[in-house]
Amino acid sequence: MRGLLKKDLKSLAQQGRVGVLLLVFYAVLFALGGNEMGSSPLMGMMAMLSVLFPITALSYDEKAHWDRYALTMPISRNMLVGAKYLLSLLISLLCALLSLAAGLLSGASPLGDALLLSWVMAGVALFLAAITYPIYFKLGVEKARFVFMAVFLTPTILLLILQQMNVTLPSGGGVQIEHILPFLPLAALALFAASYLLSCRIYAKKEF
Amino acid sequence: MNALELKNVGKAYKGFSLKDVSFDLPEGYIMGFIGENGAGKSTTIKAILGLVHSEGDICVLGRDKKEITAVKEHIGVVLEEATFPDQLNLLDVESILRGVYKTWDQARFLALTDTFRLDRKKKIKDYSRGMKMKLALAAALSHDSRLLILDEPTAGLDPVVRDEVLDMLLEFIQQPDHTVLISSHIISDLERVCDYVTFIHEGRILFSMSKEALSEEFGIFHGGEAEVAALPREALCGLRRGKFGCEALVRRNCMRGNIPLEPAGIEDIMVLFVKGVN
Repeated sequence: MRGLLKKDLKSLAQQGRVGVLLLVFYAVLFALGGNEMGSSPLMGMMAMLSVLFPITALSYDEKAHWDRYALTMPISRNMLVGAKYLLSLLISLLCALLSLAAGLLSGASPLGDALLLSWVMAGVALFLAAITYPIYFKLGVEKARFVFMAVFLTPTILLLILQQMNVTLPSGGGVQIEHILPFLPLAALALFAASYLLSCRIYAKKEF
Repeated sequence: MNALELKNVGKAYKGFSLKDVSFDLPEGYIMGFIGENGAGKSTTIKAILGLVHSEGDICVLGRDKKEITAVKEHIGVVLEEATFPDQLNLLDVESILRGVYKTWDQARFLALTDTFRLDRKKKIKDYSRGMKMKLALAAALSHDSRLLILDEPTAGLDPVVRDEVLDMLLEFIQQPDHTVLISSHIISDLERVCDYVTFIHEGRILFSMSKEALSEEFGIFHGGEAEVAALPREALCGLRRGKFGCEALVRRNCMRGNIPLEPAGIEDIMVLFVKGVN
């Protein structure tokens, strides 16, 4: 497992440096600007990045037929899948910490709010990873790219259509979103675990 | 003890299937695995390593195919086209494999890659095919491998390096519990190092025997059409017609009388078998 994580981190190192620089740049920008939107655009970006990094690692692997090679080593199929999920977890955690730092530095939000925002951001990142991985393991990077776009565009398009048709969305039955917000990342974490199990099942059937 | 046992191994694809593949590889020997492109060599090797799901029984270093992960520490593998991700360099690879194999020998890996003149800082994506092969071979020899499984390891290597690689295999096999399964198109390489030869054709094993048994079993008959036609039908395995007569691969024990035969090399046997009698 250690070797597998090392491999992903090392092959992502170059891209990672650019990504981190970019994030730091935006974090500073938002922190200094203290604009009305606070750090939420930054958070969105981080959530996306925390999914994009592991996918990039997957595409490097696929190009080199790494999985075929790795499975000749003392590495089980579940370990190979698990290493990718662990990578996501690590990157999400890193992004959450970065966004917490940015939130605090901007001074726009008190500690509690900044913590909540980072926590939610980590949840969004895990949610995205949970949906993405099984598709990638099933279809491979090339085909999954399109499905990935479809999955993420559909809710947006649906919302736009509903808006055009003047349909009012249910307000949540009087429950304040603030009350359920802290628990959403927990649901994402559960989904992430279920997604790991699903990916293992998909991967067990694969041939190389 | 057999390092490798295959019994009735099968795998069906659209348009190609591996059928009843059975052979044993005794510990301490080198087996050459030959056959034309698409004959099923790589599929068999993938089945042995559990990369594809197959029917039949496979036993590797005393373990059933379901438990193969447990013995992978002791298997060194070189596969065609499967390597490390592009962005890494040799030192990254070393550090990764140190985290993968419990018995990893860093000094040996670095010495081997130096022998192969592999650049330590160059990225894998800038390595040639031959260099990637050498890297994989060095990795396969730098942990406690008892069984080497090599799929076309000498493809893309120049004759000098091929010679070095073969010497390494001969050195590896000096340990009595070390075994090698090597598939190759370069028959002269196999002729030099193999103790056993297994020939696969259209997904089936045509024979699996020792090199000595092979030369006792087969011979080459040279003669005209009429002379070939007079040979016993059951003796004839393959035929090549040329300008100056025919060359026939025959089974010695089916020949009658004292007909002079030339020894058959592995390449003759493979080519003539594939050509067939028609």
